[in-house]
Amino acid sequence: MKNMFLKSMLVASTMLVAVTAANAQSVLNVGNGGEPGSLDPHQISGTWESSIARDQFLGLYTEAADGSIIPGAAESHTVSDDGLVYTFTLRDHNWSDGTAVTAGDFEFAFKRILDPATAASYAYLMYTIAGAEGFNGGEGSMDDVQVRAVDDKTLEVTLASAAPYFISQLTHNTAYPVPKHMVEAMGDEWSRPENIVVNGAFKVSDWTIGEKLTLSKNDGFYDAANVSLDEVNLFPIEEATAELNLYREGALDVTSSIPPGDIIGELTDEFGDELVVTAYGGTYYYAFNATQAPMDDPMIRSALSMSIDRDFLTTAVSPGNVPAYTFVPPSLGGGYTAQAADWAGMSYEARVEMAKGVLADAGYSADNPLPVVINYNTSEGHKAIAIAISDMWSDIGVSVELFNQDVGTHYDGLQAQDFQIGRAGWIWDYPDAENLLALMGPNSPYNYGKYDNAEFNALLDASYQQAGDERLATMEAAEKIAMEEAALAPIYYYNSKHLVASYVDGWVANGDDRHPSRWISVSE
Amino acid sequence: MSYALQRFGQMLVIVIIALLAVFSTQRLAPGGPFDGERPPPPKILENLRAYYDMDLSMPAQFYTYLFGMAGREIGDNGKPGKAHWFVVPSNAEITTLGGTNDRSTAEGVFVRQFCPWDQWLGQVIPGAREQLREQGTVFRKCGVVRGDFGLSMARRSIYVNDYVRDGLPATLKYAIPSLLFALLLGVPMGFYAAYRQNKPADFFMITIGMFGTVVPNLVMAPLLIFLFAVQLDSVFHWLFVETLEWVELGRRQRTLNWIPSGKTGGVMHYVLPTLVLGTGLLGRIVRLSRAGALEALRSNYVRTARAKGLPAHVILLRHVFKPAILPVLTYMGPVTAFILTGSLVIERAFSLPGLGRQFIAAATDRDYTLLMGTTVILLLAIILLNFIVDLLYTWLDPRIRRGGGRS
Repeated sequence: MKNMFLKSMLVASTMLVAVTAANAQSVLNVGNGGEPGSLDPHQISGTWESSIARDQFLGLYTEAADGSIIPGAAESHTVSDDGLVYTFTLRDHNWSDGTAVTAGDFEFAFKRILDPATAASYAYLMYTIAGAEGFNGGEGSMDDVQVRAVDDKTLEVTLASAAPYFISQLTHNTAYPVPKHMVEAMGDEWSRPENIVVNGAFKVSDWTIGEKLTLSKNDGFYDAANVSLDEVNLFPIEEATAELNLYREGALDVTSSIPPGDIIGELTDEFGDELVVTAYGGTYYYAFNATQAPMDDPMIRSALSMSIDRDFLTTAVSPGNVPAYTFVPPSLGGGYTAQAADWAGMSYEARVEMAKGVLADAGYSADNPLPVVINYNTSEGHKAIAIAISDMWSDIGVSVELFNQDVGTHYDGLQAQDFQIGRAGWIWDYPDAENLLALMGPNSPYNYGKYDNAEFNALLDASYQQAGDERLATMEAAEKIAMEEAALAPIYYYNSKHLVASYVDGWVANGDDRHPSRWISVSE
Repeated sequence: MSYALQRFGQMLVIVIIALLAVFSTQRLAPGGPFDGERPPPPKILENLRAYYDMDLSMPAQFYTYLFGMAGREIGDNGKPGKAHWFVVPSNAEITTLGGTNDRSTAEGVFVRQFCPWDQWLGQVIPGAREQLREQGTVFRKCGVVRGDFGLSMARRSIYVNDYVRDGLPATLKYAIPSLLFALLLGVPMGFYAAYRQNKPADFFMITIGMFGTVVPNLVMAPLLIFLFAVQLDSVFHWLFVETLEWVELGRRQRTLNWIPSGKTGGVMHYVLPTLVLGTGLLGRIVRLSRAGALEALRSNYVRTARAKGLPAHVILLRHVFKPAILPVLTYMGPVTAFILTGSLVIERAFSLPGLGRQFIAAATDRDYTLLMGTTVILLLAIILLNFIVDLLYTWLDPRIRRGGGRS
């Protein structure tokens, strides 16, 4: 009996200690929106994966809390006069196993992601580097890739052509370093949770698939003294309603999104300032297949684009988003002014009249409507928008058929030009207009409709050789052409929508929707 | 014994047919594992297809999936690449797939990464590991026969085995309580209904049981969420938090933790999924145990017991229970199937991290390996339980035993 009593006392006191210890920790619980497929920064593609990579790895340049670019693993860099050769000086810092991070790790990493054997699906972002595209496409060799560790602290990178956005590209996970000594010893196994070695502020400590992934503070991080959180728990929840439930329960401090539809009004009432809505790097649009009649006619495309009532869509159908008349979101910043077609300034009624005129000239009317098919990937949201748009178009003499497929098949069709009008969306990889404009150029695999305008292509081409305001003006001129010709129909700009608890500090809304945990703290 | 062997052979055939069916249908379906919002450019797609050996012919892909593929020689550049082996310095401590440690023996040797099956062998048979290292083939892919379900295609660094390791326990965590709930409630209800045949209590029991059965899980889940988490939230709040003080709310908590949403913690999280899955089974168990009990109640020995004036609970427990439970036991095979398919629904509805959820994700992502893996595991679970039930049944009721000639 006495023994029992002692035992239960012991258990109780152990639990008490455990509880106290847990309280002393500073923990952030985040809804991450999806299950990561890998911890290897070269093998990921989703935002729910790059958020983890961002906490674990420090690229040459990195993000401040507000998303602006600051030095990371590099202390500084110089650029040659022709804008082609970048020389980086690395800061003294270590991998989490104590090995020094060297320029050799970066050289190794840049070449590894481009290696066809690595089969990295995002390797094309590194095509900026000279020799990269050839090597990745199986035509060149690894030695052709112009990345060189001059010494342990100096890295030299030569670009294929001047790319003023190169520094912002370096914040992307494709440009993160990987520990050469580990990858060489373990192959692809190096990134498994039990093996992984990082140079970022946090390191994975526990991962139960489907349940949660825990990042713990990396005490070896060079700036560890300024990292407040001890642990970040990332919950791979895809359903926004489930996230909302957990947020209400207090089990999440930050959500990855909010449920779609008109719930946004209710949530504003319920949560007030905790609901954070920010313009976020991308555009929801309809692509026109310019390889077939009648979508090869810029006038028909424009008529269709101008007769979309974007105000209605963003208030009644998909509330909380911002109407888009340009492909490059105005939130991009950096001095770029997004360009809309001239009709964007007209009233909706005037635009509808104008569109009717265009279609009448082409021989279409309510009695003899132009038949079109809208392809979209299966989703309630996409469907609602497609239905609303087909209703708008029926007013100008267009009869619409809707065709939905699952996401993979849908984009397969888009890439094969097996569509007439197709829903698509683009979130920029790095905050530069080029990343969006290239989608209407000849070299992008994402130019679904094969829009091909010689003048646009020439301007886009020229912009790669330019810098500063001259380059911005060239890109603006290119976008103006594409919008006047309705290369595609922008519909709305994406917003990031999060619930962020009031006691979470250092989480700053930004246009890239990147929130490194190293800047975040939790106040009691 | 020969009966068991025969059944085992049948199981094997079923598994292979199922694998072939899944393998061919998923490849015939449009779309592929590398499509998505932003499908990779053609060159990259080619690299990816080579990485997953999708450049092989279909029969070759199926063969290597089942039986594995020998390792390729290491390249001139000395890169270990994607192989299941790697070069390590002498006496390096390395961690292999599955987390077991092994030590290299000489300078620059290729250390094999053991296939899951070999690892298991190495653990249970002394000396097996050394022998395997000496003589075993070096595998790039181990194949299903060696316990390796391959690398997920949609999630690049996760083995299907990892999914099963994390997902199956999560599924069972809800499946077992649901089954217990249905049995512990359904069997007494059925017995009592039989005892009170055609009386109001009988109808009452059957009605309650059938309600859960006729309302599909798909409907029951949101219904219960609505009832518990929305309509009755304030009632439960008053009861558990304010009056009984069982639950202490967190610092920003507004509602009780009824909905697991991706976590498997806390008693509260079990309530709704168990209710949904359990009530789905309840009706059938009530009816089966009622039918079994009725048959037993009509038997002569029960009539004798009644005539002796034994109390009802003694009759039910001592004389009716064993014969009456047989129909319920037979039903345990289909029940496994029901629970596992039901878990597909509840894992979706409650965002539970189980295997059913991965199964659905695999189907929509065209994650060929994950879909094959989860199919095999779910199938094996169903077949195995049917098998065990069959064996148990023949043991409980000698009349069905085979092999001793026809009756």
